[in-house]
Amino acid sequence: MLYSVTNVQTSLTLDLASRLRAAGYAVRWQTSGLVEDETAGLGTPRATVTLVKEAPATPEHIVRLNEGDTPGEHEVAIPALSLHLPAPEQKMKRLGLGHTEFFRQRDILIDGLAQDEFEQTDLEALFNTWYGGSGVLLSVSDYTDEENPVSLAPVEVIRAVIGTEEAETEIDAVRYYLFARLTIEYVE
Amino acid sequence: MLSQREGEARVRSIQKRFLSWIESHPVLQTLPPEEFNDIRRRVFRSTFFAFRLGVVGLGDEIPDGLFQQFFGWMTQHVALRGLLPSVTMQIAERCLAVTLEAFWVGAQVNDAL
Repeated sequence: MLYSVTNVQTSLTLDLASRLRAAGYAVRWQTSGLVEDETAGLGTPRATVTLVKEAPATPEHIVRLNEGDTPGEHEVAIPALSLHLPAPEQKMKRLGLGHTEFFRQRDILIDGLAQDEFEQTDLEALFNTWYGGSGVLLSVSDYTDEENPVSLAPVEVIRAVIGTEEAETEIDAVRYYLFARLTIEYVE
Repeated sequence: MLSQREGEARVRSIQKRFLSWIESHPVLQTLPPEEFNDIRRRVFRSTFFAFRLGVVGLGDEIPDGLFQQFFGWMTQHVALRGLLPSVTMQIAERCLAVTLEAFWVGAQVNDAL
């Protein structure tokens, strides 16, 4: 399977990180702690978005940091986003009579937390720009050989539901939720 | 001229100021929480998008369109329908003022680009 969970999740997370950096955000990889931005020292990033593989089960580990602070080992600093593949892919139809390949669809959920309503609206608007149009294609690579990933045919976003919610909570860091639920289609 | 980051900080400050205003407004503070929140959210979003329009250098025709949009929305709003026209107008003008302010902040960011 070339469009495996690992390949799709890795590719689309890297793509998301690249889009965030291009939009002026720095990106912090939760697993490595590495922070990347594209200001090249010429400016200050608008904020640092933490990319997490899994959101912590307890909201106490989600924190709002002051500028210059770094999160603790088990802490996730907001704004934070994660990209999941919540359900198995579905075979939709055969490519054609006699073909062994199928049109397949899979849901992608990008969700997370913003620091405030302004940032929540900004990320929502970016999601709409990136994923909300028609004919949006996203690059996917095969990472079987991590040193030399091989580009696959891009996947098409055929549906995008993007939204925000403001949680009724006393924990300020988990108040401004946002999500993009995408359905991608590809042939394999 | 402002950097993007400075501009965003200004808009956040405009939004906070607007929040203080609606929270202390004698009529608006009597609205049910969901209606109150609806007004707050719409104005927050309009300031955000006006700011973005300013940043990208668009918006010569914003003021009239925005005012009509606000006033049209407010006169249709169930919670606001019973208010005196003068009060509705006062709220609409305030919403428009903060939105325009956010737009001009965006325009200053645009000047710096």
